[in-house]
Amino acid sequence: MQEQPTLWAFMQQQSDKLLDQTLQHIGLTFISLLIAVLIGLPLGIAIARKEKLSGVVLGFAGILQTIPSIALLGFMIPLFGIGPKPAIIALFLYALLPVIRNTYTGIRGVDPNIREAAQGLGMSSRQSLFKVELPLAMPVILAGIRTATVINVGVATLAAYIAAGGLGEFIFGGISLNNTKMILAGAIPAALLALLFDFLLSRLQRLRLKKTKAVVLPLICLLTLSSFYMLPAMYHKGLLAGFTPEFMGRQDGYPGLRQYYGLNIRTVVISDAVMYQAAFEKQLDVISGYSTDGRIKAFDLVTLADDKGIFPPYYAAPIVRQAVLDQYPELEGTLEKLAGQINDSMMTELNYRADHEHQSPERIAADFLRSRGLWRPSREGHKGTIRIGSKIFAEQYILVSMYSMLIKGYTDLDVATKTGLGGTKICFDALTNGQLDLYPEYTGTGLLVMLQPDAKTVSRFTANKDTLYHFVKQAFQQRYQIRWLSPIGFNNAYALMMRREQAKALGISRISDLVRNLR
Amino acid sequence: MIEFNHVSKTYHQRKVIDDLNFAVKEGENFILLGTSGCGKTTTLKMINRLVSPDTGTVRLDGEDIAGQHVEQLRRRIGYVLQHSSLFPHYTVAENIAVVPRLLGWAKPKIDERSRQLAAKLRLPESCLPGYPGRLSGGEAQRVNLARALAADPPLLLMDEPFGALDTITRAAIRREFLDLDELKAKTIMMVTHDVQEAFELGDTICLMDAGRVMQTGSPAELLFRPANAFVRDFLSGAYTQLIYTVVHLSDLWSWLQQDSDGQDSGNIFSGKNTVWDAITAVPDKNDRTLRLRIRHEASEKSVSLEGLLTALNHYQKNR
Ligand SMILES: Nc1ncnc2c1ncn2[C@@H]1O[C@H](COP(=O)(O)OP(=O)(O)O)[C@@H](O)[C@H]1O
Ligand SMILES: [Mg+2]
Repeated sequence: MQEQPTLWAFMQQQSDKLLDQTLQHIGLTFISLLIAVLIGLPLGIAIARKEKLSGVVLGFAGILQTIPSIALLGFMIPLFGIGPKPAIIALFLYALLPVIRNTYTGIRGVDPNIREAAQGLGMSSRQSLFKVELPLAMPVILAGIRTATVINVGVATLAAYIAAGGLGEFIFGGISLNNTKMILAGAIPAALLALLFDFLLSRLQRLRLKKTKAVVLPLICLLTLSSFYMLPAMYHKGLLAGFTPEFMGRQDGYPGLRQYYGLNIRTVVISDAVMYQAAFEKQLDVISGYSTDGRIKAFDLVTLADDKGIFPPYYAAPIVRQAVLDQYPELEGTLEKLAGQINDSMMTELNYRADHEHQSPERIAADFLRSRGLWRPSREGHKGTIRIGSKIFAEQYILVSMYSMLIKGYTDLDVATKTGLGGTKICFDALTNGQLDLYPEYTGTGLLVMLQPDAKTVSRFTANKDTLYHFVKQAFQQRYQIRWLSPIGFNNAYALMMRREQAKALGISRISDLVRNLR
Repeated sequence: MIEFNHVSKTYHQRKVIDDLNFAVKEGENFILLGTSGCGKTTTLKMINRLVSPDTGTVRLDGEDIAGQHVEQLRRRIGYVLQHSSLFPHYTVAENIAVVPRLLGWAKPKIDERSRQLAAKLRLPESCLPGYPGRLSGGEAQRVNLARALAADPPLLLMDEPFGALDTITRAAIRREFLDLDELKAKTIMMVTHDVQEAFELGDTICLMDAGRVMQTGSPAELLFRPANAFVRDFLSGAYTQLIYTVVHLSDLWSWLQQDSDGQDSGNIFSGKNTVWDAITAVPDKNDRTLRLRIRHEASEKSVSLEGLLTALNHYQKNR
């Protein structure tokens, strides 16, 4: 085991990044909040005066609120691409409801006698609004802004999925890397931000605010905080790389590239779900992908040769709890039917059918098994249930479908699949906890994410795919009582990719060329 | 000063104001009296255009108010609402200063006026910088009145201004109210459902029922010459008490017996005072030795309470 730094040491070591992410986080939260206030406040005032519109407006804002945040971000990508723009728009939509609703409720809640007094004394409708109604509604409005702020601090962590930065970069990096300290380095500041803003706004709420000052002051505070977002963006330029949170943190990812190649490129963190498309749409120039990903073909990308050999092999194999293999001896042989069956180009093709042609993983799996003469109809057995997990990408879905068809066709066992588990950590924890029986894993991941040996061991084993496989297999058996069955055949290693025509134009075919180009 | 001509108002197909006609003379205390729901508030609000009539016209100083700039009109009319309506986020001083500020008065003038009003309305100056939340009911109502009076409007509209107060405070404030020099020159239009209050404060009373005027006239006219059965029945419950408020000491002069062998109460009344004024001024009504001094047309009499009531009896018999 490599010596792990304490959380504090980790945060100090990463203080630059942490500061960037925190500022971005604050910026994302408050720019969107500012827009929500600029739009929601007048809207709330309008519907408080025109009661008829209130149902429609509040209903619409309410529906926006119920869209799951990940889905809302997903909807934003085709419309606004990646980066801060879609993130801010999504956050804005979330912040809208509490702002509108509380403005409306606050103004409607002003004692009608007081409103009548304002009118009766000769205030115009505007004067009544700014001198009486808004100041009296202000505690309720601020409560809405406070709710929106806390929601936004939370949802802004998801912005890391679409290259908008923020503390989500550490959180999701930590989840994929099974690195609790990294998760905490993102989660604790995010929680502290939420608490801090909640506290500050609660103070603001308690002040006796009156007249127009009451409205202008918080707006100015918002503007100042929003400008924080611009800070980290100011000191970089050149080619832009989009890396997954996992790649950003792994020794065989960006840190390795820096160490061995001296690569120094402007980076954003992004989810692999949208990364390829973003490269295709020229929003990113370099991305960290997987060699067998179908989208390489779909989006006409090229992989750069790893001329210094720093990416360890990622041979896929099912990993299974030993207890399950013992309980159902017929399982092992069944799973082994896929051993050595799929090479790199075949896997890329299968992935392409899923990612680009949008065929269902079941269909792709069945077609493949038929072409290999492995397919058999389900025996509808009920001897027991095997729970298979998968991470959240097409290759895993396809493999899981194949295994589930094989198990149902060749044994009397039934299968329950738990697809779309967020990352390596989630899958692996579920496996060790006995909530899963098996899922497809990669040798490189097993070594670097789960076993985390010291740097010397890593370089000794990553040089050769067979020695790596045997090392991982042995270590898992000893440490976790988990069996690595035989590799399926393909090597889904990390690779850097670029758009074909840009790589050609810049004369880049190897990572070293990229590094030279950046100097 | 104010004229209602065939004014009607309908809410949800129900006529709540039905062909209202009356005139308010400059400087008088004009009372709108009636049971709750009869349309008093609605009528009052038509004067500062918080409610606009469906048909008919309301004139102020001879001009139709419908054509006037509504905010400017309101700033010229003092308005005291039925329910407590001080701005809770303004200090007492700021509450009083609302209309002068809207009118753009200079700050020193506003401050002076606030202090002056506070003194006249017997508000301690120390409460000016505080917020209205801490005021007692009576104090709040004084501030409400001060706010309405701040810009010295010639016309004051008051909607049950004492309605929220307990009976004792209410009677006390009413007395004070009558004595305020600030109000003497003003035209006051006041709404109440309290007959006693109407008779004590009103020069003219307009008795309403279900959106119509039943009778408009002086308290004595309403009491002694009711226009219809409604007016008679409305007043009959409090008849004896109301007599005290409509009969003036001058009316009784010929029946008042000089009776000076007793203790002088220290009060001197004029013929313009009502019997009610005299009776309420006597602290202990069981003390038969007390004598009240009454001056009328250069002569003066000392009378006992009993003597006063006997004179009233004679007056009624001979009316
Ligand atoms: N804005 C309104 N909408 C509908 N009905 C109203 C409105 N204002 C007053 N009314 C009705 O008109 C009638 C007279 O009300 P109001 O003038 O407040 O009576 P008062 O002040 O004499 O108690 C009541 O029946 C009341 O319900
Ligand atoms: Mg009323």
